[in-house]
Amino acid sequence: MSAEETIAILTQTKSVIFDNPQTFPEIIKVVSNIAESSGFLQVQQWCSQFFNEVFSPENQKIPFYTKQEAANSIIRALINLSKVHDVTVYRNVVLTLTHIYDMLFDLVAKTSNGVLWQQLSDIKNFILSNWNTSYPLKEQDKDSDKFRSIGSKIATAKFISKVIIVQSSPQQTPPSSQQQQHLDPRRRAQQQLQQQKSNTNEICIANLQDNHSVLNKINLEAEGQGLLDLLLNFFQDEEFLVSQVFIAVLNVLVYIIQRRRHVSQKVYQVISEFDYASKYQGPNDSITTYKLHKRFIARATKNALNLCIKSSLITSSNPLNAKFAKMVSNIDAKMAEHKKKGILNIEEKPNKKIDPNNPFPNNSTVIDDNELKSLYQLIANSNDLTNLDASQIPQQTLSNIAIATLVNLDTPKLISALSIVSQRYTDLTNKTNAGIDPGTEEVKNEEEEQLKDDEDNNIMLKQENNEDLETQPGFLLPQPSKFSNDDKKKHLSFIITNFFQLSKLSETDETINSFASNKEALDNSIKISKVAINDWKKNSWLVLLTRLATRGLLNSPTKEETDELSNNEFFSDLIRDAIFNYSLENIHERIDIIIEWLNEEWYSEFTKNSNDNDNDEHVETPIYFKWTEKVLDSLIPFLEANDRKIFIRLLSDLPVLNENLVSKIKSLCTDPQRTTLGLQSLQFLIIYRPPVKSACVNLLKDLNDNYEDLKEKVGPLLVKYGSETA
Amino acid sequence: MESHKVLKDAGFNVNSFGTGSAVRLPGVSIDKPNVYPFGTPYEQILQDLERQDPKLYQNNGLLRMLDRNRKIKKAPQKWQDNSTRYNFDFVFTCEERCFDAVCEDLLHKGGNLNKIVHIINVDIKDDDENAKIGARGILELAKSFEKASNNVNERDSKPFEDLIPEILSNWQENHPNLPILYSPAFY
Repeated sequence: MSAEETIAILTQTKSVIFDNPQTFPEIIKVVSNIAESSGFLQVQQWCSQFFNEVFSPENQKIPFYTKQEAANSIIRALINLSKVHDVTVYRNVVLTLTHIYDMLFDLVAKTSNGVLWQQLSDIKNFILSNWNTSYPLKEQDKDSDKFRSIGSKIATAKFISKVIIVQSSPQQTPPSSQQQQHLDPRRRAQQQLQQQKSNTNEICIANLQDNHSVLNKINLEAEGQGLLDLLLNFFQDEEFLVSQVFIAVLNVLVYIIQRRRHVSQKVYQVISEFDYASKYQGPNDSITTYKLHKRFIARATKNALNLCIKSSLITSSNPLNAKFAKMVSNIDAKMAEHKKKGILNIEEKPNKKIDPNNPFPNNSTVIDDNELKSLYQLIANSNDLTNLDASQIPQQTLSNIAIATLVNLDTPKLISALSIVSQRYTDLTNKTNAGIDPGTEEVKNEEEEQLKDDEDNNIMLKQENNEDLETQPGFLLPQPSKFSNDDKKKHLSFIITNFFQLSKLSETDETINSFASNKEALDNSIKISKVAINDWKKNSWLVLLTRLATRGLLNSPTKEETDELSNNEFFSDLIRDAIFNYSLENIHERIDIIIEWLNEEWYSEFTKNSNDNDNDEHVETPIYFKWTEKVLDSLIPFLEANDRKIFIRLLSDLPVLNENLVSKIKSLCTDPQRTTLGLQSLQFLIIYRPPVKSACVNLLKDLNDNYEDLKEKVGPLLVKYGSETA
Repeated sequence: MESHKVLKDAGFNVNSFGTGSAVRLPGVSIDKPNVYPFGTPYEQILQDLERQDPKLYQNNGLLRMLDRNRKIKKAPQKWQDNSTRYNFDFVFTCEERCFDAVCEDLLHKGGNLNKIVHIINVDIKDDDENAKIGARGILELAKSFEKASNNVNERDSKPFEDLIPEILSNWQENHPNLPILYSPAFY
């Protein structure tokens, strides 16, 4: 069964739960079995999302005990799913476990189910061991991994807070019975009273017997405290400014102190010492991103403190109260400065981490592309030096710089730099070798090549003498490796970017002149007539790009299978998307581009789909309609009342309109500020585009019937035009 | 509400809320605002203002705004009363005051639903023209997030939470006059 079919069945099954909650345990078992056995990522994502949804406290339709019983049967599925290397699946697993951790804790407390507790502990420990790593994504490098799998980190912070709450008591835990024997009997009585008060409905360790056969109260409590320290130490230990994770941890700490007031002072102490400004900028973060991370954390700290003050968690008698008030006012001052100067104009020095043992920001020993620059680059990608074109520096100066550098160079540093480059080179060579088709010859060294060439020549000479050459297989160059879809996507995006750069050039630019001289050469050799571009004009780039989208890729000679065809359609859509976005950036100046492009779409599609012999046939042009609809949907919400000229121009120059496209004008008519624009457009279409006249009149009727305040304006139009079609 | 309209027109599942204690609209003088409890239908507010001084409220654009709003939803709703009833993936606020109110409210409610939500503030001045510019900015952000979260089915694609700082940073560079705020939070 395919992934899609499985999901279709699962979705159908899911709907049964909401109609008939009694089926819940049975359906949970079915989904758990599928989650354990399916290898399809989409199915695993679906199942994890399903568990997250149905076990959420938000789902009140299922009674607590039914949920608790069913939670027992999903643990194995959750363990399996947690091993899937996908952030969506993993995040859902962690959140589901957060929903059910207290339920299962309670179940084990009541039933002493040791197997279940072992499974729950296993998955808990697995999640905890992955805290602040890049899991479920594969590790790359230690520093940039801090900024990866953020969704999993946020979810894990929430899970840890749940474990802390379950594994701690609402009040300071009274000493165990053994310890209590050493207490003054009057204090013991007081503490027991306190404990009784705290025994609310909340599921937590306070309600657990000291001598439970499966759950060791002291150990679990110690684990809870250890986890709280883990969260608190994060503020000190994490070197990088990962605002999303810091904020998530800060938020869950606020949740914890609302439920466990006795730990609040410890939390406040850490917040008061939190020095986010000293944290390092992410290895791949620009200075703007770094500034924003700082701004976000500052605001979150302020909001957390304000909430604690407003809800009397921090009182005026708290020794840190004055410090917090100062922190809040400092943050307010900073925010006011951001507003006044603009965040981009705030001065901020880069704060990159430099490892004393490896002083190169970019010390990765693998590279993603085959560029020479990547092979040698040891500075960060965000470093402005990467934009320096050294070829512009006079050779004499360059050699002086090189000599001066070599003289002053620290030898170990040079060695470590060269070793990085050499490892990259080796990795690249291995990758290239692995990529070569084993059936093709590999060049080993010049000597061997020479010998082989001689042998080949001899064989060929013999063959020439003995047999007809044409029957012999000639020498075949190794086939280049086929472009993967990702490569195609990458190169197509280069092409698109280049075209948009061409659009910015003036007609007299050098690049364009070179086109003109090539053209002369062509003119002399072959005469080309009936081509789209004979001279480079301002919009020639658009002609090429639209033709590439509408015809170039579709007629690709490699279309062997339907898969390939849909891929080509996907690539065409990439170009269409680029033209679409480019035009919408400045619709007032680029309306011509939209018109030219959509006309091209329609024409190509019409020619492609029409039958040459039948002149009267109706030709379907779905791609044209799809994109025209998209253009109108994006354009209409932003039209101003005075955009009449460009909008009517567009309506008049689109090759074909249909009722659906005309209906898009409705939102204009119903917007009081733009009613006139909408009605004028309809009037224009009625007069100048008879094929959509009836659609326009229908729309007018609809407006007249359903919009009371438009009657006054629409009525006369209907009288004028409506009767003609009736 | 302008942003609500623009996002709705673009096909997003959207709702809008106020964070104050009541709906406050300009009145005949600065010290006499018109105050309505949340839940009062826009239709009723519109009629009330028309009765008070149609000319004044026509000229300051209030009637036009209310007319637009009543076509979008029946009555203004309060965030604090509804935040656990509707849970969204993203919350956009248009004033820093509202951003703080939303963050504090979610902190106060204890995150019991264990659902991650991303809160973003785009500071918009409260007038017609700026509302349009701001709404366009919010739509742009919403589309970027949508695009980033659509690649979940591809193995090894970058998860969308990892892309949020980059998206916000690029957006900020294109909109230097709209200082942005962001916070992940829990319902």
